Amino acid sequence: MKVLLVEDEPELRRSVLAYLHGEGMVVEVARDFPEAMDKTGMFTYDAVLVDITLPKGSGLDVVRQLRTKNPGTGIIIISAKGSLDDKVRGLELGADDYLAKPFHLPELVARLHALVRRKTFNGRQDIVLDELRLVPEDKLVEVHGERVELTGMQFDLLLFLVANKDRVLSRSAIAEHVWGDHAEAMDEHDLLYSHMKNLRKKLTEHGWQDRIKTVYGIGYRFTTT
Amino acid sequence: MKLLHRTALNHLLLAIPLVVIGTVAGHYAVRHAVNDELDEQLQHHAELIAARLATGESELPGEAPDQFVQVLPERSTGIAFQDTLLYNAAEEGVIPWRMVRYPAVGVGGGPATVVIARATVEYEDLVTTVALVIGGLLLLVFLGNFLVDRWLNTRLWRPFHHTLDQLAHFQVDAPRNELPRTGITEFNAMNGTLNAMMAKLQRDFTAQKRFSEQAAHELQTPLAVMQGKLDELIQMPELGELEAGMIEVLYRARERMGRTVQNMLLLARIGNMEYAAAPVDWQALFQDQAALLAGLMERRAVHFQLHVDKRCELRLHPVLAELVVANLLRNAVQHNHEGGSINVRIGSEGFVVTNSGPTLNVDPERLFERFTKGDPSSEGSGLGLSMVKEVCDNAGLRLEYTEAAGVHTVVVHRTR
Repeated sequence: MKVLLVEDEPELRRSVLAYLHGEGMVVEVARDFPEAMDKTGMFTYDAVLVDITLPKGSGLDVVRQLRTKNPGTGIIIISAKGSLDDKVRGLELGADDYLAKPFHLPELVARLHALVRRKTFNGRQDIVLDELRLVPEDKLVEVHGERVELTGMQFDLLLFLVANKDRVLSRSAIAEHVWGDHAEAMDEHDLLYSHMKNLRKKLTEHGWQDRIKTVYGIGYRFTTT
Repeated sequence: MKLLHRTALNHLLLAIPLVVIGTVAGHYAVRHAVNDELDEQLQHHAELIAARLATGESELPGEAPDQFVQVLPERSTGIAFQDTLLYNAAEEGVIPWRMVRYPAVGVGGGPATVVIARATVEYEDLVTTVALVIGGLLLLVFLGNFLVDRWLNTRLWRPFHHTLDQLAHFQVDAPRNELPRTGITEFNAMNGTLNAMMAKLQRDFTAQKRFSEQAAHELQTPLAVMQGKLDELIQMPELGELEAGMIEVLYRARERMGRTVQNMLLLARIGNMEYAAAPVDWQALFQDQAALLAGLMERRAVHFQLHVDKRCELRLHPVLAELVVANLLRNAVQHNHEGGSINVRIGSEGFVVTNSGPTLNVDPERLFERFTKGDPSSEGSGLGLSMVKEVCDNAGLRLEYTEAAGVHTVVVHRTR
């Protein structure tokens, strides 16, 4: 997957770059508006991550140019402005998703995967990890070809883990992904723990070899090796 | 009451007594004049008869249906006029007369009094007519004055109403027209002041909005950097228990900070920005949010019930509607006790969220203030309910909180 990251904050750029590299993605960066316009004008990407507030211009214009030139490219706006106007205008201009800063890197990865799946495979792409098979479009999970009934929340959780396989996921990243703004009310009760336990139980009951590892004091990891 | 109606009413209140007084006074004045004239005629007539009596003539001229003449062999001291009522054959009834008693010398040289009376019915009619004409004229004058005044006032106040109209449509974040100069000094002064005020409002608003955005950018970018580094950091192999504990604390602190910043900016924006209202499916919204909180409710054995009496017609921006419902429900779960309950009742004009829970040690009045927490050590930002309040205030909704015997009730209702 080839991704362009348009972001002016160097440290954030470095983190995103490193994290996406770790996912095996090819990432290029643009530090300001002219560079972003040049690169999006010359090359084709599977996905572009655009910050709205850029030196020498607005990320919204980058979105506009991308939409006319490369309708197939997935666009995610990553903005610190958090203003509703920007979100609405960005999506109107043709951005596919909007992620407000500060965001969890695993969340970005999950959104990127979902976006590319939607754009490239029309959403019809199975994810197969040994005996486990996921069909995100239908929210379907199979173990050894046998259907596992998961709740919507459990499916979201599993997909999030799989999208970030072999990475350590913090409890707060997972909680925020599953519960959104309600996450703050959740962690004190360690609801995530029981949520995770139920998911693992349902999958292992169907003969799945549990690949979800608890990382002590931090969170969880879905391992494939 | 409209200014014009007020002036009209004042005119009317003044006009009615004046017309009545004018008519009555006119009546008396005319009547007085008529009586004077009548008395003079009667006196002349009496003098004439007295003169004839003096020459020994006994024929008394002047008998008529409305007048009688009589000479009484009585002595009288002077000329006396009086009103009296007498029977009249022509009118077939008792009618008013004006009568004079005039001293004279009789045919035989003895004392005599000439009595002449004239029926005044015709004069009464005249007096009434004249009084009515006076009253009518007065009315006409007042009516004319009133109409002219009204026309003038409407014209004079037109710039004022224009200004009012402009003010009613003033939006702090929309372009506006300058209030015009008029021919009237006072209106010019008013429009000038208002122009300056609106310009300042718009400047301040823009500045505040820009400040919010800059603050957002300045705070959220470093937060994003922190978040990114933390997410990277936990990928490091061989993190010890000590490191893991510290990272956990950093995560929580980062989150808490992020939430507070996000909520503060949202608060600033709710007050400033125009969030366009739209119809909301409140039932679905409550169901979705309750589903998100289901795990927490289950854990605390809190029973949730949603009752829909009618489809709720309250309109709100979808983001704000979700904010309201999410915060109210989360509060209802968090401030509940084990095995408690939450009831939501939706009606066409609003909804009510009731929950069991321990009595708060916070003054209900202060509950919606910013940074007020029931439990000071809680990790909540203390902004949740103040955001709900802010949203309701801006959308013209009534928000009420009451607590009785461990039952907490929050009402969101359309204001009448």
